[in-house]
Amino acid sequence: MDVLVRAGIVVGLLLVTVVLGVWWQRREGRVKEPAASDGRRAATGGFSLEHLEEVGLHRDGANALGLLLGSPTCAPCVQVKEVLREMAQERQGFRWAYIDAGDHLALARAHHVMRVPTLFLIDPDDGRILARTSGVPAKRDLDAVLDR
Amino acid sequence: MAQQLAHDEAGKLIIDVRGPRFSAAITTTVLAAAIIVQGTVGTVLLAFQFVMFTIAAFAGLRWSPYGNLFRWVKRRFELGPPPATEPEAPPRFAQLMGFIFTAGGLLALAAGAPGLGWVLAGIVLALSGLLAFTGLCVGCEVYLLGKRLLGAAAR
Repeated sequence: MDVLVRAGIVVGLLLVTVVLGVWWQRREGRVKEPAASDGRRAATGGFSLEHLEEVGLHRDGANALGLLLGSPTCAPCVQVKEVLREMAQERQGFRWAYIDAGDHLALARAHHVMRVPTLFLIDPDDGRILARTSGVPAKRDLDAVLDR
Repeated sequence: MAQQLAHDEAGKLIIDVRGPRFSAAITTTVLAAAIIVQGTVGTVLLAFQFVMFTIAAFAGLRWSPYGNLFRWVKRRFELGPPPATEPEAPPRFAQLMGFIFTAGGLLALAAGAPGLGWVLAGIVLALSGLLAFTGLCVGCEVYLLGKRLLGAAAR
C-alpha cells in the first residue's frame, strides 16, 4: 500500500468518525416524554416501589423524583448531578438519587438503559416516568416537564 | 511539574476539560503519522504514543507529558481559566484504553501481523480524533455494555 492511499484512509477514517460523533452528540440531552399512545413504553411501565426503595428514593412528601444512572468514569454525569443539585435547591419536594448503572443492571435492563448518563424524572405517586434523557439535559427542559 | 493542580473535597485531582482534548489532538497527529508512514519510523511513533498512554494511565494525569505540555501552553499563551473542570477518572480511563489498544498493536507488529497491528492503532486514532474534534465521552457509551458482558460472562 502506498503512502498516499494510507493518508487517504486516515483522513477518511477521521472524517467518518467525526461526522458520526457530531450526529450522536446532537441527540444528547434531548428530553423524551413517554406518550400515552406509545405501547412499548407503556408496557415497560414506570418504576416499581421496589426499584425506588432499592436506589434509596423515598416517596413520602416528594412531588417529583429524579434518578440518574451513571458510571465512575463519566464526565457528563458530573454535569447532570450539578443540574439536579440546582433543581433540588429551587424546588420544594424534588428529590433525586445517583446510582452506578453497573451496580443496578437489573434496573437498567428493565428500563432499556443503554448508556450513561441516563436520567429519569418520576412521579412519586405511581412511579410513572415523566421524562427520560441521555446525555446532559438543559435545566430549563427539565423544569418545563415538572412545571406542567 | 505537578504543583498547583486543583483537587476536589475528597482530594481527587480535578482537571481543565480542555486538557484531554489538547492531548487527544496530539495523540491523533502522532498516530495518523505512524499509520501513514508505517515501517520503522511508524513503529517508533506508535511505541512513543504507547509510552505516553502508559505514563498517564498508571502514574496519573498529573504526570502526563501531553497534559504538562498543555499546562505550559496555557501559562505561556495565557489561555485563561478553564471553561469547565472534570474529575481525573474519566480521561484517565480513556488513557488506559489507549494503553491496552496500542499495547495490542505493538504486540501484533512484533508477532509479524502488521495488518492487525495497524488496525488496532487505527481504532485508537479514531477514538482520539473523536475526542479532539467533538469532546464526546466514549467511555460513557461502552460502560454499561461492558458491565453487561462481564455480568453475562460471570453467570
